[in-house]
Amino acid sequence: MPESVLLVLADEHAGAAAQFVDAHHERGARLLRPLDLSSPGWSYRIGEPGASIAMVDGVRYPADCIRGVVTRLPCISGTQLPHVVPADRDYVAAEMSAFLLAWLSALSCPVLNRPQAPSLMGAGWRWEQWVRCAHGLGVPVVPLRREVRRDTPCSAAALPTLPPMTRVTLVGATPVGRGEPPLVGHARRLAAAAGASLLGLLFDGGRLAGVELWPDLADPAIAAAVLGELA
Amino acid sequence: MIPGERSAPVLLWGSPRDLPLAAVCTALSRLGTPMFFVDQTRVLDTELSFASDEHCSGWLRVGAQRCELSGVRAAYIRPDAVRLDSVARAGPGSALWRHAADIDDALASWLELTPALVLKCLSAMASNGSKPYQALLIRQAGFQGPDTLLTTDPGALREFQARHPRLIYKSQSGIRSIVARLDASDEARLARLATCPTQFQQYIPGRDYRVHVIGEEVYGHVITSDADDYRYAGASEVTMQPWPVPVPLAERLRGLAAALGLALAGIDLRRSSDSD
Repeated sequence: MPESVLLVLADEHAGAAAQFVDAHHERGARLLRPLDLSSPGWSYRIGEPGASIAMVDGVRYPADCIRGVVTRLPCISGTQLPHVVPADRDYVAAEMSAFLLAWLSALSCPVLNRPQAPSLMGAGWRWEQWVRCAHGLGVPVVPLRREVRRDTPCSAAALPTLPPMTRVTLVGATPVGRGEPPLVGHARRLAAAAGASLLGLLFDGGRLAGVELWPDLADPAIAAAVLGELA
Repeated sequence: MIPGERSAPVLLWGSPRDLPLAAVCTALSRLGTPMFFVDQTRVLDTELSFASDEHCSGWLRVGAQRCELSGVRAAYIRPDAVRLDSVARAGPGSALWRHAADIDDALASWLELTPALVLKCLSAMASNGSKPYQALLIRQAGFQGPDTLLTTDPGALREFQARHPRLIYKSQSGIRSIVARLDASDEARLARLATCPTQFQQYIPGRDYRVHVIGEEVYGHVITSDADDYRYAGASEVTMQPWPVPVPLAERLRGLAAALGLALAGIDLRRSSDSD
């Protein structure tokens, strides 16, 4: 019987993901890279995710050996497939993304963050959507106006320039470390609205000022919380 | 202008060379419906500003034409991912490229926020990017689908083929492929199966139907073709005839479109020889 594993779907050059996997390898943490999808052995029959087979670093893992997945890629990119002929990379990347969207959505084990089409790592919201959500939930938020003009280099910045900000990182509904109750409450409501189970939120003076879709897995407290959530 | 009023404009986004968009423009013109066309070929002459609040108010300018966004009552969008020649030549990282990308992103963002009706809303269309994922949603809506295997394993494929002697294969993503039957001539190519999970499906013989759900209205067509993929029938004859969708099926199809978040949906059905 293969060991029980916790997969981290990430680019092979993602430092925080690699540190997490290295630190917790004996607890079953494994890096699932785009390259792994070019291994013989993957098998998923629609409607039977429990019978699916994943190939990770050449090792075969039936679905019931996967106790959890952390997703750190919104999609597979052609630049991550140097082993594929250049003319086919974008197509193969799209096919791999489509496969992962279906497979990860159907897995019965916990997935942080479970895909929401088109993103493999939960709601791929733009900042404007977070701001609108905050408005709708009554969460104080830094006002945002999006503006695109030919004579400005980029759209209006949303983030204030006054450090420091208060960060609230949620793993499931649990804040990592101590958090100010009002901000934790805001964070939980926003995460629930977005269907996010791993999320960092930045607050400036009590107002939502930013969102971190990639909480630092190399942070021991966040890593411990992730392992606890996927235990 | 107040959204919902008949004088409020319909926003159209895409290329003037897009035939469906042109057809919608023509139809709206005949109805006397005001329109605001966001011409993608004029992206470098387009500017946009809006607030991410409950009103989502702002403005959109294309050349000398300006639209107050709070007045838009509906939108029909068919943006093309292909860049203008001038933008493509300037290349990623250039000011032109950044502007074009910013406009596309900002407008896509506004379309997710606006209370106006958006046909072909990008987020709702996202399931089209993964056919097996979409198949899960379709099954959850109560429809049957062909048995489907996604695999890089020739052994798993052979087991699947033993269960279903006739198989087809096609893309999983939104990149269109021609549906093809798996036959002996594909044997040599199976060595490349490891490159990427490939989608194989049980071949369902039967007749094709194409149904469009537009709000509460349902329009059906029956398709007659000998081709594995009628969209690419080539020299083979293809006929499409209006088909009255049975009321119970129409209700289920409206439910499916609603479950997918689509106010406008094209749904392909195949009636098997045992009437399933």
